[in-house]
Amino acid sequence: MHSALNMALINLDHPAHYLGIGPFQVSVGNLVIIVSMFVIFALAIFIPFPHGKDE
Amino acid sequence: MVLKVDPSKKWTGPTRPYDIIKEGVIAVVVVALLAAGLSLFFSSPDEKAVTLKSWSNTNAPDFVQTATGELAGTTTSAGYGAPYNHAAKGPTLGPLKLQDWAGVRIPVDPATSFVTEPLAILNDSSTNDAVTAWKAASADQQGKWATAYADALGKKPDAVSLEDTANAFGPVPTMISSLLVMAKTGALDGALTTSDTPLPTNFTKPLLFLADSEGYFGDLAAKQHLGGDQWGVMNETGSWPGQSWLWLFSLWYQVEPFKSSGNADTLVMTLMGFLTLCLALFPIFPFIRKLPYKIPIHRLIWKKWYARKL
Repeated sequence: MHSALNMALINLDHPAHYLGIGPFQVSVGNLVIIVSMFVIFALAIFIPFPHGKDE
Repeated sequence: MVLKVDPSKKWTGPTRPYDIIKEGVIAVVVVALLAAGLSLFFSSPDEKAVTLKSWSNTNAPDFVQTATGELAGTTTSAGYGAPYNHAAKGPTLGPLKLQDWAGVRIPVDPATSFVTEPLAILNDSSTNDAVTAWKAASADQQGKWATAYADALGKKPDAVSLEDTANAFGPVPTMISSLLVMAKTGALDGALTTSDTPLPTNFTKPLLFLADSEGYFGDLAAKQHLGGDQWGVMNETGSWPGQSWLWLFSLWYQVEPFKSSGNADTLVMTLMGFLTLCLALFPIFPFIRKLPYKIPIHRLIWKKWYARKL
Protein backbone atom coordinates (compact mmCIF):
# COMPACT_ATOMS: atom_id res chain seq x y z
CA MET A 1 0.00 0.00 0.00
CA HIS A 2 2.54 2.55 1.13
CA SER A 3 5.02 1.56 -1.59
CA ALA A 4 2.33 2.29 -4.18
CA LEU A 5 1.66 5.68 -2.58
CA ASN A 6 5.35 6.49 -2.58
CA MET A 7 5.40 5.84 -6.33
CA ALA A 8 3.24 8.94 -6.83
CA LEU A 9 5.30 11.86 -8.10
CA ILE A 10 4.09 14.01 -5.17
CA ASN A 11 3.68 11.99 -1.98
CA LEU A 12 0.88 13.27 0.26
CA ASP A 13 0.95 10.30 2.64
CA HIS A 14 2.35 12.24 5.56
CA PRO A 15 0.83 14.36 8.38
CA ALA A 16 -0.92 17.45 7.06
CA HIS A 17 -0.06 21.05 7.88
CA TYR A 18 -2.84 23.14 9.40
CA LEU A 19 -3.42 26.87 9.51
CA GLY A 20 -5.75 28.45 12.01
CA ILE A 21 -6.94 31.55 13.80
CA GLY A 22 -9.11 31.12 16.90
CA PRO A 23 -11.74 28.47 16.26
CA PHE A 24 -10.98 28.45 12.53
CA GLN A 25 -8.67 25.75 11.27
CA VAL A 26 -7.99 24.52 7.75
CA SER A 27 -5.52 22.08 6.24
CA VAL A 28 -3.15 23.35 3.58
CA GLY A 29 -4.64 20.78 1.17
CA ASN A 30 -8.15 22.14 1.68
CA LEU A 31 -6.92 25.73 1.45
CA VAL A 32 -5.25 25.02 -1.89
CA ILE A 33 -8.52 23.60 -3.24
CA ILE A 34 -10.58 26.56 -1.93
CA VAL A 35 -8.17 29.15 -3.36
CA SER A 36 -8.07 27.21 -6.65
CA MET A 37 -11.87 27.39 -6.90
CA PHE A 38 -11.79 31.19 -6.52
CA VAL A 39 -9.00 31.45 -9.09
CA ILE A 40 -10.89 29.28 -11.60
CA PHE A 41 -14.06 31.34 -10.98
CA ALA A 42 -12.12 34.56 -11.65
CA LEU A 43 -10.52 33.10 -14.76
CA ALA A 44 -13.91 31.95 -16.04
CA ILE A 45 -15.20 35.51 -15.70
CA PHE A 46 -12.28 37.42 -17.15
CA ILE A 47 -10.87 35.08 -19.81
CA PRO A 48 -12.94 35.47 -23.00
CA PHE A 49 -14.52 32.34 -24.47
CA PRO A 50 -13.09 31.38 -27.88
CA HIS A 51 -16.52 31.60 -29.49
CA GLY A 52 -18.32 33.52 -26.79
CA LYS A 53 -19.92 36.19 -28.94
CA ASP A 54 -23.55 36.98 -28.14
CA GLU A 55 -26.06 36.70 -30.91
CA MET B 1 -31.68 49.32 -12.73
CA VAL B 2 -34.43 46.74 -12.22
CA LEU B 3 -35.48 44.69 -15.23
CA LYS B 4 -39.06 43.48 -15.03
CA VAL B 5 -39.88 40.39 -17.06
CA ASP B 6 -43.37 39.04 -17.66
CA PRO B 7 -42.95 35.23 -17.68
CA SER B 8 -46.11 34.79 -19.75
CA LYS B 9 -44.60 36.58 -22.75
CA LYS B 10 -42.19 35.13 -25.28
CA TRP B 11 -38.54 36.07 -24.76
CA THR B 12 -37.56 38.75 -27.27
CA GLY B 13 -34.07 39.51 -25.93
CA PRO B 14 -30.77 38.20 -27.29
CA THR B 15 -30.26 34.46 -27.79
CA ARG B 16 -27.25 32.31 -28.44
CA PRO B 17 -26.80 28.73 -29.71
CA TYR B 18 -26.14 26.18 -26.97
CA ASP B 19 -25.26 22.50 -27.44
CA ILE B 20 -25.74 20.80 -24.05
CA ILE B 21 -24.63 17.39 -25.39
CA LYS B 22 -21.38 18.82 -26.71
CA GLU B 23 -20.75 20.70 -23.46
CA GLY B 24 -21.57 17.61 -21.37
CA VAL B 25 -19.19 15.42 -23.37
CA ILE B 26 -16.40 17.98 -23.12
CA ALA B 27 -16.96 18.30 -19.35
CA VAL B 28 -16.86 14.52 -18.81
CA VAL B 29 -13.72 14.09 -20.93
CA VAL B 30 -11.91 17.01 -19.29
CA VAL B 31 -12.78 15.85 -15.75
CA ALA B 32 -11.80 12.25 -16.56
CA LEU B 33 -8.44 13.36 -17.95
CA LEU B 34 -7.89 15.65 -14.96
CA ALA B 35 -8.76 12.88 -12.48
CA ALA B 36 -6.50 10.34 -14.19
CA GLY B 37 -3.69 12.84 -14.65
CA LEU B 38 -3.79 14.22 -11.10
CA SER B 39 -3.93 10.71 -9.64
CA LEU B 40 -0.58 10.01 -11.32
CA PHE B 41 0.91 12.99 -9.52
CA PHE B 42 -0.82 12.77 -6.15
CA SER B 43 -2.17 9.19 -5.79
CA SER B 44 -5.04 8.85 -3.28
CA PRO B 45 -5.56 8.00 0.41
CA ASP B 46 -5.31 4.30 1.18
CA GLU B 47 -5.18 4.16 4.96
CA LYS B 48 -4.83 0.70 6.47
CA ALA B 49 -8.03 -0.47 8.16
CA VAL B 50 -8.27 -0.08 11.93
CA THR B 51 -9.27 -3.42 13.44
CA LEU B 52 -9.71 -5.00 16.84
CA LYS B 53 -6.51 -6.90 16.06
CA SER B 54 -4.50 -3.72 15.46
CA TRP B 55 -6.05 -2.13 18.56
CA SER B 56 -5.29 -5.05 20.91
CA ASN B 57 -1.74 -5.43 19.59
CA THR B 58 -0.99 -1.70 19.74
CA ASN B 59 -2.69 -0.76 23.01
CA ALA B 60 -3.69 -3.90 24.92
CA PRO B 61 -4.41 -2.09 28.24
CA ASP B 62 -6.93 0.18 26.52
CA PHE B 63 -8.58 -2.85 24.90
CA VAL B 64 -8.80 -4.63 28.26
CA GLN B 65 -10.28 -1.58 30.02
CA THR B 66 -12.82 -1.05 27.24
CA ALA B 67 -13.86 -4.72 27.17
CA THR B 68 -14.32 -4.64 30.94
CA GLY B 69 -16.39 -1.50 30.51
CA GLU B 70 -18.60 -3.41 28.07
CA LEU B 71 -19.30 -5.98 30.81
CA ALA B 72 -19.90 -3.22 33.37
CA GLY B 73 -22.24 -1.37 31.00
CA THR B 74 -20.28 1.88 31.26
CA THR B 75 -19.19 2.36 27.62
CA THR B 76 -20.68 4.73 25.06
CA SER B 77 -22.42 1.98 23.12
CA ALA B 78 -23.86 0.47 26.34
CA GLY B 79 -25.59 3.78 27.08
CA TYR B 80 -26.24 4.92 23.52
CA GLY B 81 -29.94 4.22 23.08
CA ALA B 82 -31.61 3.67 19.71
CA PRO B 83 -30.99 2.05 17.28
CA TYR B 84 -28.94 -0.33 19.48
CA ASN B 85 -30.68 -0.41 22.87
CA HIS B 86 -33.09 1.39 25.19
CA ALA B 87 -30.42 2.77 27.53
CA ALA B 88 -30.99 6.42 26.59
CA LYS B 89 -33.44 8.69 24.79
CA GLY B 90 -30.69 10.07 22.55
CA PRO B 91 -30.74 13.42 20.71
CA THR B 92 -33.95 15.40 20.91
CA LEU B 93 -35.33 18.49 19.24
CA GLY B 94 -37.49 20.19 21.84
CA PRO B 95 -40.28 17.72 22.58
CA LEU B 96 -39.33 15.57 19.56
CA LYS B 97 -37.45 12.42 20.63
CA LEU B 98 -36.01 11.86 17.17
CA GLN B 99 -33.62 9.01 17.95
CA ASP B 100 -35.89 7.24 20.41
CA TRP B 101 -38.84 7.30 18.03
CA ALA B 102 -36.73 5.65 15.31
CA GLY B 103 -36.70 2.57 17.54
CA VAL B 104 -34.19 -0.20 18.31
CA ARG B 105 -33.55 -1.63 14.84
CA ILE B 106 -30.05 -3.10 15.36
CA PRO B 107 -30.17 -4.65 18.85
CA VAL B 108 -26.72 -4.68 20.46
CA ASP B 109 -26.09 -5.60 24.09
CA PRO B 110 -22.35 -4.88 24.39
CA ALA B 111 -21.66 -7.41 27.19
CA THR B 112 -23.29 -10.17 25.19
CA SER B 113 -22.46 -9.08 21.63
CA PHE B 114 -18.83 -8.05 22.19
CA VAL B 115 -17.75 -10.44 24.96
CA THR B 116 -19.78 -13.53 25.85
CA GLU B 117 -20.99 -14.47 22.34
CA PRO B 118 -17.51 -14.35 20.76
CA LEU B 119 -16.04 -16.25 23.73
CA ALA B 120 -18.63 -18.99 23.22
CA ILE B 121 -16.90 -20.06 20.00
CA LEU B 122 -13.55 -20.39 21.78
CA ASN B 123 -12.67 -24.03 22.46
CA ASP B 124 -11.14 -23.49 25.88
CA SER B 125 -12.54 -25.11 29.04
CA SER B 126 -11.50 -22.37 31.52
CA THR B 127 -13.01 -19.71 29.27
CA ASN B 128 -16.19 -21.73 28.80
CA ASP B 129 -16.47 -22.21 32.58
CA ALA B 130 -15.98 -18.47 33.12
CA VAL B 131 -18.72 -17.61 30.62
CA THR B 132 -21.02 -20.15 32.21
CA ALA B 133 -20.39 -18.63 35.66
CA TRP B 134 -21.04 -15.16 34.26
CA LYS B 135 -24.34 -16.17 32.66
CA ALA B 136 -25.46 -17.97 35.83
CA ALA B 137 -24.89 -14.89 38.00
CA SER B 138 -27.50 -12.22 38.64
CA ALA B 139 -27.26 -8.88 36.85
CA ASP B 140 -26.38 -7.27 40.17
CA GLN B 141 -23.52 -9.72 40.77
CA GLN B 142 -22.27 -9.29 37.19
CA GLY B 143 -22.21 -5.54 37.71
CA LYS B 144 -20.24 -5.87 40.95
CA TRP B 145 -17.61 -8.14 39.37
CA ALA B 146 -17.15 -6.01 36.26
CA THR B 147 -17.13 -2.71 38.14
CA ALA B 148 -14.61 -4.00 40.67
CA TYR B 149 -12.30 -5.19 37.87
CA ALA B 150 -12.75 -1.93 35.93
CA ASP B 151 -11.88 0.08 39.04
CA ALA B 152 -8.79 -2.06 39.69
CA LEU B 153 -7.64 -1.69 36.07
CA GLY B 154 -8.18 2.05 36.33
CA LYS B 155 -5.63 2.17 39.15
CA LYS B 156 -3.09 0.30 37.01
CA PRO B 157 -3.59 1.74 33.52
CA ASP B 158 -0.74 -0.28 31.97
CA ALA B 159 -2.03 -3.67 33.15
CA VAL B 160 -3.68 -6.20 30.84
CA SER B 161 -4.72 -8.58 33.68
CA LEU B 162 -4.84 -8.49 37.47
CA GLU B 163 -4.73 -11.09 40.22
CA ASP B 164 -8.02 -11.45 42.09
CA THR B 165 -6.53 -11.29 45.57
CA ALA B 166 -9.77 -10.15 47.23
CA ASN B 167 -11.96 -12.62 45.29
CA ALA B 168 -13.97 -9.68 43.92
CA PHE B 169 -13.66 -10.06 40.15
CA GLY B 170 -15.44 -13.42 39.62
CA PRO B 171 -14.95 -14.82 36.10
CA VAL B 172 -14.25 -11.39 34.56
CA PRO B 173 -10.39 -11.58 34.41
CA THR B 174 -10.52 -14.96 32.66
CA MET B 175 -13.11 -13.72 30.15
CA ILE B 176 -11.24 -10.51 29.38
CA SER B 177 -7.86 -12.27 29.04
CA SER B 178 -9.38 -14.79 26.63
CA LEU B 179 -11.03 -11.99 24.67
CA LEU B 180 -7.64 -10.26 24.42
CA VAL B 181 -6.10 -13.44 23.00
CA MET B 182 -8.92 -13.67 20.44
CA ALA B 183 -8.48 -10.01 19.51
CA LYS B 184 -4.71 -10.26 19.08
CA THR B 185 -5.03 -13.13 16.62
CA GLY B 186 -7.78 -11.44 14.61
CA ALA B 187 -10.36 -14.05 15.63
CA LEU B 188 -12.51 -11.42 17.36
CA ASP B 189 -12.78 -9.34 14.17
CA GLY B 190 -14.02 -12.45 12.38
CA ALA B 191 -16.41 -13.39 15.18
CA LEU B 192 -18.05 -9.93 15.32
CA THR B 193 -18.33 -9.42 11.55
CA THR B 194 -19.91 -12.84 11.02
CA SER B 195 -22.18 -12.98 14.07
CA ASP B 196 -25.24 -11.86 12.08
CA THR B 197 -24.30 -12.74 8.50
CA PRO B 198 -22.36 -15.67 7.02
CA LEU B 199 -20.10 -13.31 5.06
CA PRO B 200 -17.98 -10.70 6.90
CA THR B 201 -19.83 -7.69 5.52
CA ASN B 202 -21.45 -6.21 8.64
CA PHE B 203 -18.97 -4.07 10.59
CA THR B 204 -21.48 -2.54 13.01
CA LYS B 205 -20.29 -4.44 16.08
CA PRO B 206 -16.50 -4.09 15.66
CA LEU B 207 -16.98 -0.39 14.85
CA LEU B 208 -19.09 0.18 17.96
CA PHE B 209 -16.55 -1.69 20.05
CA LEU B 210 -13.67 0.34 18.58
CA ALA B 211 -15.53 3.60 19.11
CA ASP B 212 -15.87 2.76 22.81
CA SER B 213 -12.08 2.94 23.10
CA GLU B 214 -11.09 5.99 25.11
CA GLY B 215 -7.43 5.81 24.17
CA TYR B 216 -6.49 4.08 20.94
CA PHE B 217 -9.30 5.06 18.55
CA GLY B 218 -9.62 8.66 19.72
CA ASP B 219 -5.85 9.14 19.52
CA LEU B 220 -5.79 7.86 15.94
CA ALA B 221 -8.51 10.34 14.97
CA ALA B 222 -6.82 13.22 16.79
CA LYS B 223 -3.47 12.56 15.07
CA GLN B 224 -5.17 12.78 11.66
CA HIS B 225 -7.23 15.85 12.66
CA LEU B 226 -10.45 13.90 12.16
CA GLY B 227 -12.05 14.76 15.53
CA GLY B 228 -15.29 16.70 15.59
CA ASP B 229 -13.57 19.57 17.42
CA GLN B 230 -10.77 19.66 14.81
CA TRP B 231 -12.95 20.42 11.75
CA GLY B 232 -12.60 16.68 11.16
CA VAL B 233 -15.60 16.45 8.85
CA MET B 234 -13.65 18.55 6.34
CA ASN B 235 -10.35 16.69 6.62
CA GLU B 236 -8.83 13.67 4.94
CA THR B 237 -6.11 11.33 6.16
CA GLY B 238 -2.54 12.31 5.30
CA SER B 239 -2.08 15.60 3.45
CA TRP B 240 -4.76 15.04 0.84
CA PRO B 241 -7.51 17.67 0.62
CA GLY B 242 -10.80 16.65 2.22
CA GLN B 243 -14.44 17.65 2.00
CA SER B 244 -14.05 21.42 2.09
CA TRP B 245 -17.66 21.92 0.96
CA LEU B 246 -18.76 20.77 4.45
CA TRP B 247 -17.15 23.84 6.04
CA LEU B 248 -20.42 25.33 7.29
CA PHE B 249 -21.55 22.07 8.92
CA SER B 250 -18.13 21.75 10.54
CA LEU B 251 -18.02 25.39 11.68
CA TRP B 252 -20.94 25.03 14.10
CA TYR B 253 -19.20 22.20 15.98
CA GLN B 254 -16.33 24.59 16.81
CA VAL B 255 -18.46 27.26 18.54
CA GLU B 256 -20.82 27.41 21.48
CA PRO B 257 -23.49 26.36 22.25
CA PHE B 258 -23.01 23.48 19.79
CA LYS B 259 -19.44 22.68 20.86
CA SER B 260 -20.33 21.56 24.39
CA SER B 261 -23.83 20.26 23.67
CA GLY B 262 -24.56 16.56 23.85
CA ASN B 263 -27.32 17.28 21.37
CA ALA B 264 -25.01 18.99 18.84
CA ASP B 265 -25.85 16.77 15.84
CA THR B 266 -29.55 17.57 16.05
CA LEU B 267 -28.95 21.27 16.68
CA VAL B 268 -26.51 21.60 13.78
CA MET B 269 -28.71 19.67 11.35
CA THR B 270 -31.71 21.76 12.36
CA LEU B 271 -29.79 25.01 11.92
CA MET B 272 -28.46 23.90 8.53
CA GLY B 273 -31.97 22.90 7.49
CA PHE B 274 -33.21 26.35 8.49
CA LEU B 275 -30.39 28.08 6.60
CA THR B 276 -31.06 25.92 3.53
CA LEU B 277 -34.72 26.89 3.72
CA CYS B 278 -33.69 30.55 3.90
CA LEU B 279 -31.57 30.05 0.78
CA ALA B 280 -34.49 28.45 -1.04
CA LEU B 281 -36.77 31.31 0.05
CA PHE B 282 -34.14 33.90 -0.87
CA PRO B 283 -36.48 35.83 -3.24
CA ILE B 284 -39.14 36.52 -0.60
CA PHE B 285 -36.96 38.17 2.04
CA PRO B 286 -37.24 41.96 1.53
CA PHE B 287 -33.66 42.94 2.38
CA ILE B 288 -31.80 39.81 1.32
CA ARG B 289 -33.37 39.70 -2.13
CA LYS B 290 -31.90 43.16 -2.81
CA LEU B 291 -28.35 41.96 -2.06
CA PRO B 292 -27.53 41.16 -5.72
CA TYR B 293 -28.07 44.83 -6.48
CA LYS B 294 -25.63 45.82 -3.75
CA ILE B 295 -23.14 43.01 -4.50
CA PRO B 296 -23.52 42.66 -8.29
CA ILE B 297 -21.37 39.59 -8.97
CA HIS B 298 -23.89 38.52 -11.59
CA ARG B 299 -23.02 41.67 -13.55
CA LEU B 300 -19.46 40.37 -13.84
CA ILE B 301 -20.72 37.07 -15.23
CA TRP B 302 -23.09 38.79 -17.69
CA LYS B 303 -20.88 41.83 -18.21
CA LYS B 304 -21.41 41.99 -22.00
CA TRP B 305 -25.16 42.05 -21.59
CA TYR B 306 -25.10 44.77 -18.92
CA ALA B 307 -22.52 46.78 -20.87
CA ARG B 308 -24.85 46.75 -23.85
CA LYS B 309 -27.91 47.69 -21.75
CA LEU B 310 -26.10 50.64 -20.17
